[in-house]
Amino acid sequence: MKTIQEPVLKLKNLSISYSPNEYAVRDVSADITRNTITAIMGPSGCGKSTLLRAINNMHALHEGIKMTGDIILNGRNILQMNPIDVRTQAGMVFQRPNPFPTMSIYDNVIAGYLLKGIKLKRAERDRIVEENLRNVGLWDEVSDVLHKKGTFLSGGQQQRLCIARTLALKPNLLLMDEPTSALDPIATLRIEELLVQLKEQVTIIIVTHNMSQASRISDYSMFMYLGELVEYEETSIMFTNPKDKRTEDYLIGKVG
Amino acid sequence: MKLDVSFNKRRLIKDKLFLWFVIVFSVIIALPLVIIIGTVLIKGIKQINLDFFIQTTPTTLEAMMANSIGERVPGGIANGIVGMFLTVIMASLVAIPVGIFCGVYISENRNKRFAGIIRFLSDLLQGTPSIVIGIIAYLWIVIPMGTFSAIAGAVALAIMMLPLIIRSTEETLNLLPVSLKEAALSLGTSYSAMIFKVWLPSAFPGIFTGILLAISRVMGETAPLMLTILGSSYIQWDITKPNTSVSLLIWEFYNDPNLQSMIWSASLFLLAAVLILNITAKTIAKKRSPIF
Amino acid sequence: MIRDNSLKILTEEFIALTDIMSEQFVLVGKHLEQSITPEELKKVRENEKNIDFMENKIRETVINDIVRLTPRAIDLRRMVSTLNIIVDIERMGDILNSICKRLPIIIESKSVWKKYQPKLISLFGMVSKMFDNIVYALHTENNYIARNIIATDDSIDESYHEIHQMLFQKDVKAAEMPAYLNLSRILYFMERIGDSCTNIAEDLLYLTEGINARHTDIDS
Repeated sequence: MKTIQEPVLKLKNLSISYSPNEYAVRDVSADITRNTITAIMGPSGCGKSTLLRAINNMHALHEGIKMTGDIILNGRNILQMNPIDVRTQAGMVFQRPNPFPTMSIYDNVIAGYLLKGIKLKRAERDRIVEENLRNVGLWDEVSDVLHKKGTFLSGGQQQRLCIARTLALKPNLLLMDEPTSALDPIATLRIEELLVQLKEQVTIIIVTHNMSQASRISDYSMFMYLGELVEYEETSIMFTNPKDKRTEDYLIGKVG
Repeated sequence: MKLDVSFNKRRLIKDKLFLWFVIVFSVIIALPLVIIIGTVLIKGIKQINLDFFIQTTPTTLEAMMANSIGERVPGGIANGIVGMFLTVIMASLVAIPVGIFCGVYISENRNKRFAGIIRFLSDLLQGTPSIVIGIIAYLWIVIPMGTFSAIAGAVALAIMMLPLIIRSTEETLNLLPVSLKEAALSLGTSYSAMIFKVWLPSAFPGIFTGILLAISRVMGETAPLMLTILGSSYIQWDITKPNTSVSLLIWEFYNDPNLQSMIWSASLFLLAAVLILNITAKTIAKKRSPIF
Repeated sequence: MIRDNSLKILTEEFIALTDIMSEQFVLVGKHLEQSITPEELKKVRENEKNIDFMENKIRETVINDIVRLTPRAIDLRRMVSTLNIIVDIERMGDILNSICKRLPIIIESKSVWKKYQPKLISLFGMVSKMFDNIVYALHTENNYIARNIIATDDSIDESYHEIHQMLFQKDVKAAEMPAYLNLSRILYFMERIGDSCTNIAEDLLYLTEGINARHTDIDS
């Protein structure tokens, strides 16, 4: 029998600064529920991308970024984990689709394994590639050109390839940084539908500046303003009856 | 209305005039190149046959005899080709890895002072006269070894190739989109794996072009080789012994009144080699660039 | 700017509608006091047509705003509550018109009229006041007044039942039957006006507080 599960991610008093006294994220605390889509919204410069990239410790690559507070991923504090383990459990998809240009579509999907030097049997590799391409709805479109480089694919297809690549490592948290901003409306809708389906397998956190997208697909929404987590609520409630005036101003277009 | 028409006419005339200026000046600039290639081609093609590539340089006596009876000078530049091959290969074996590593270091640590120093030194090296580099190699290699050798020549050429490879590596890497790095790292790739399996491979076209250009540059160097490999009339495969190169041979032909005809053929060979390398570099660059 | 302009237009149209309604209430009040002129009677019918017209216009405005502006939070609640409110306003307008049509029949039965005119005026005064209050509350988006209005609905119901009970008499003359029937109807209409005002107050609470007050205890 399944007991009530722990939140897949817990943020506790997280603050991030690029330079002393200049905080990009201030004292954010939140629990992310499993198998939900949480949207992080807010005007430019509110800290949403900074917050997202802290979760898979991308900031470790830049000196001068200080983080205080805790990020607990699957029960473990990420700052005490090997960044490689963190990034295997929390995958990230970026705004501009970035399939590896020197690799074929096939190799792109299993890139996570190739780049780590993990050797897989041919049958296992084939299985992973097909399973994940099917998962993102790309299999039918590319199954006969798997060994070509992925650069001829459309933007939407490339982005789905990137999602497949991330999913191949079986993360249980998927971090998405404005994944459809660079895509046309139809490609955007296809990916939104994909995300709603994927919710059953992974927990998704999506940074978006598109309020309509947030209201379409997210179960929970976070509103951030000047680094602060102003409101964190079920999306249907936040969008009809927000509690904070700043949230309301943002939703009706008065701010940002 | 009348004003408009005349104004447009004047503009059209101006445009045509400008177009002609551009064409004329382009032709003027291209002219020397065409003249050089043409002259070398016409004068050098007579000497080219199979022997040219497999036989060593003729002696002055042989040449004098051939000239007196109006025959083609026997022999070829095989010793120069082998010597050039050896020195350039050895130089590349050193310059390529060192150059690429330096380029990677500078590109990855753009803001660090040390990277700036290396870049500055690299630029300095690029501006150093080739004969000075030859003297340095003479000091470092020839004197301790006690002999002229292909090794010394390779060292001199490697020093000359380094700045070019460092520069092209750094600039190619700087142009790569950061998103590529982020993609690799977000998959849990280690930094070194990212550099060697994603970052550098993506920069391959630019780096390869840079290497080809560096090779084509040093292939024709003469001054540093004079001080390091000295010269040889025979094909020399021992890299610890003196050797020769095609460029060096051209200088020797110039100094020998009987071997004048060889100058052109050797020059044609060198020119052709440089041209082929350049064209290869350009085609590779064009073919691979749509990725970015 | 786009949002502010849309809001301004919607508000203007809404004020136009409530102004017509206020005038209707005054005219019906005059009719009850038998001080209405024939031109004013004509105005009642004209107003009714305008009320129907404005209801359609405002509905169209709201739908266009929803399409164009993707309203959220308070804007969304405003659209939803406006659509609900104009239904109740249109209903009240219909009722006021019907009252005007049916009054002459009662007035003909002089004894019935004499007995019940004061009661009608009193009850109508109550619902009229309720309407004035809700209009004021709407224009100032005042949820405190809205809650008060919801509370007064019970007293309207009590008055209505009190008067209605009086209608059940044993010795009703046949000639007075039409008068009594219409009287019963008009009393019912007035109670319905009170109900509509209460509905509007509940919609106003949705707009201002975001709570659904319909059929639920708002103090829980």
